[in-house]
Amino acid sequence: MTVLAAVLAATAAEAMHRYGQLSNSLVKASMAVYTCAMLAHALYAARQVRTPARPAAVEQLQPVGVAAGPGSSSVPDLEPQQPSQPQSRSEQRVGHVALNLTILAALVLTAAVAARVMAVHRPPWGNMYEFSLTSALLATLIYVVAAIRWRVVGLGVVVVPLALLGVGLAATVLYVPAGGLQPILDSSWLVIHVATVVGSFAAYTVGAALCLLYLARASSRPSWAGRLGWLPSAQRLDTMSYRLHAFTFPVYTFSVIAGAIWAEAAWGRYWGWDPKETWAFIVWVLYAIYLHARLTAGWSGRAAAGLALLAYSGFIVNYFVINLLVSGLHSYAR
Amino acid sequence: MSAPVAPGNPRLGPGGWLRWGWRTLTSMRTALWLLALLALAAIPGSLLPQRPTDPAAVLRYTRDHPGLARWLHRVEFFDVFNASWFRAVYLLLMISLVGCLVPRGRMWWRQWRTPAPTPTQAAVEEAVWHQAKQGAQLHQARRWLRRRRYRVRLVQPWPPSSQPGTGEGGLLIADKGRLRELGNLAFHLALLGILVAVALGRHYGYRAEVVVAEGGGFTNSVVQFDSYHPGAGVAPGDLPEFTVSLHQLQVSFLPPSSGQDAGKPEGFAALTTVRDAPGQPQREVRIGPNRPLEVEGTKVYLMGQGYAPRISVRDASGRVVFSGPVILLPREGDRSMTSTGVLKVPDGLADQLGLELTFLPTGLRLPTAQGGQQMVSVFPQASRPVLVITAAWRGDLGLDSGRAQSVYRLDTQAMRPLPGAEGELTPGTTMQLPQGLGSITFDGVSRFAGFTLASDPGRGWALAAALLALLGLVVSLFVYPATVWVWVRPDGSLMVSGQAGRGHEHVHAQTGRLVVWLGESSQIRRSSP
Ligand code: HEM
Repeated sequence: MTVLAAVLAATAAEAMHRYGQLSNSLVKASMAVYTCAMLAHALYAARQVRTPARPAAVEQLQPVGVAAGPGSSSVPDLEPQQPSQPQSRSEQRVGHVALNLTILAALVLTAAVAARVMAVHRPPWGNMYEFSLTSALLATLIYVVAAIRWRVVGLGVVVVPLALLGVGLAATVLYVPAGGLQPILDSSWLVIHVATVVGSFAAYTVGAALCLLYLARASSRPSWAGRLGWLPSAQRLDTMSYRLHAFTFPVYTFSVIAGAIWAEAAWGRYWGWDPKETWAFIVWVLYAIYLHARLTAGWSGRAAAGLALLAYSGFIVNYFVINLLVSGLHSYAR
Repeated sequence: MSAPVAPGNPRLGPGGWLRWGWRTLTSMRTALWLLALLALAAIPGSLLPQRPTDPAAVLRYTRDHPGLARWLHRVEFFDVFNASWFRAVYLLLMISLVGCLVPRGRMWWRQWRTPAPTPTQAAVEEAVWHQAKQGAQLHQARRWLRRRRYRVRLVQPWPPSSQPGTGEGGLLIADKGRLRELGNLAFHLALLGILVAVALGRHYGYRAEVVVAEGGGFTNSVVQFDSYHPGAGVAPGDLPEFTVSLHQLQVSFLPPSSGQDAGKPEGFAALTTVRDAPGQPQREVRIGPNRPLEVEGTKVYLMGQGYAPRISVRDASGRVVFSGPVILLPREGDRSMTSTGVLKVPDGLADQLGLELTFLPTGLRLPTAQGGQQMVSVFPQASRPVLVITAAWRGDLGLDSGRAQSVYRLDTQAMRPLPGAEGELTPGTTMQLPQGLGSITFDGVSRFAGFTLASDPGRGWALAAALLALLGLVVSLFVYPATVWVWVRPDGSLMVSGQAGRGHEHVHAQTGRLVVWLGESSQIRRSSP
């Protein structure tokens, strides 16, 4: 019996090792595909930037949503479409290639994350390495959905390099071989907490990318305005960005609550102003100010976009600076 | 709050200034600035050591940067979240919130009960209208809107100025989304609720710490705690009188074969029996990470663990003068759990005795770089336990001196060294103490558990308020106010127009669906100016 148990344990350890290796190879492969997708997006942008702006299409009044037909999509169209610069056939083809390469990269990364799950037998967000991979994957998926639904392949010019950066950092600086969890991290509230943090981080990343595009598109510098005519209109970018942020804010709020519930189960207090908690609060407040500013205080779109970017940088501070440089109870990083 | 004096402005009296101050404080813009200030104020609290969470780090910082630290102390930067200025900001924010919620609540109540306002004729004429198919009926539109939870109201005749009897038209006014404002109010109220729950929990709750070796136990009472932090509203007699006995602390470590994770703790569990109140039956409880014990609102968390070697000390005649586990603290950051501490023997020997001890769970003699040998611990599991007496002192332990005493450190002011006591013991071995004092025996290895006890009567309320905030947030972000007008022209044809606030232009899409539903693709018509 003991021999059998030992053999089983040995094969389990070996399987873990093998899946871990497979996952590592797939991560590297996904980086290669991401690089191709990034180049394709760069080509997509470069071709259109170089093309002199064509005269805008004749404005047509269109009853919006009517074309979609009754009960078509659950998400209604985004407001009256403002005409943006029309695309040539070949430009569209480059856009398609870029998008398909991104989908391929996401598939390979999904396989990598799945292999990691097989290796560690738990959700793939037990340390910063896994967190980075999963959030890069989710950000990519959100972009793909946005690109298909809202027709903003230009968004990939920002999101795809960011995702590649996330995977790259994971594979180098943050790499942790497949292994178990520290006992304190073994809690279903933690699973829920981190899952929603991963989700909000990914969505806020795409939101920040939209803000960057918006700021570029809304720039008053004529040299920019003329070259970015192929992007969706500033107003549309602004609306998309607000939608995404408004959707993400309750998710993030929930993740903070779940974190507090976990902290209570683990340490006997739901809020202790640990550096990690403090920055979660700062980020939450900044995004709340953004929503207020955007809806009620009548701020200009540019100031609001700046606020959202400030809030996003707070998230980055919490993730990198606090995890790696400032010690606290959250032993997540190690 | 005192109103500012306005020497140069005779028209604004003190009352006027008060009103101005109140309006400014309760304005959204001020609230946003206060909110931003709160976020900014939290930053030093995350970067500097904080007294409530890590007092030792504050002392270290003060020692390392005395000049800067004096300043930081003065502006309360070592206890940011209890600092007067931090409280001032969130109190102002609360006042601002209340001041804005009350009138908004009243307004919401009025709007909830009054029907949707009738638009002016000009507004109707300037709206963008969609034409429905010939033969579409008003009752169809009404049904469609009702099913989508619109409130509907018919104004007839329309335009109001039209002569009765001249084939009068009508305007159907449908609106929805009043829940948004309610959700918003609930969200902001719940924020206040969270603050109140936190304050209540602090006032009526307490925290305590206690360290127990296997075989020992404790009663939930102030005299037994190693540290105790009660809220202002807690009297010592308020604590529920339960007792916990620790039978065994199970700890497992990742084996040496786990690479860089080797020696990391893999699992903890404290096997205890608990008596909820004097006279009640005992129950078995397993306390582990994320699985606290709960008795009448007090939760007991397993927060620390380590080794407590069992030691006996005998006098020269062989009479036992000390026997029991001695709690030794693991060295910080040492994964192999080398632990240190002291043994104090105040009674029964010719002189009081103090020993400095080091415990090596898996002690191995390894060669050092200098060519000598050194005893070190290579793994945290007690598989080759070695107890090392590193130094010994005799004299006055100072227990009656009135000086503050730590059980983990010797106060050697009134003691002299006892040379020749140094040595290594393995379980079951005995060593003679020098100068004929007696002997010391290492009886075996036990573990100790560090428990944190916490009672926070506000925590359930805080959670309820937080969930209400979340619900209110979702409602206020995803319910949007929308108004749809259906205009029945005197000739019986129908026109539809949607009105939406900024950011919710997709109401137009819904309106479009209504038109499609009423039949035929529509065309757009702007009424001529
Ligand atoms: C005195 C302080 C405050 C005032 C006067 C105020 C005012 C408002 C108002 C008028 C809205 C309605 C927006 C709308 O329905 O269009 C709103 C929404 C909201 N408020 Fe506040 N608020 C205050 C404090 C706070 C605080 C402290 C937070 C959180 C940290 C917060 C978070 C929100 C959120 C998340 C929304 C929903 C987004 C939205 O619908 O605009 N508010 N606030």
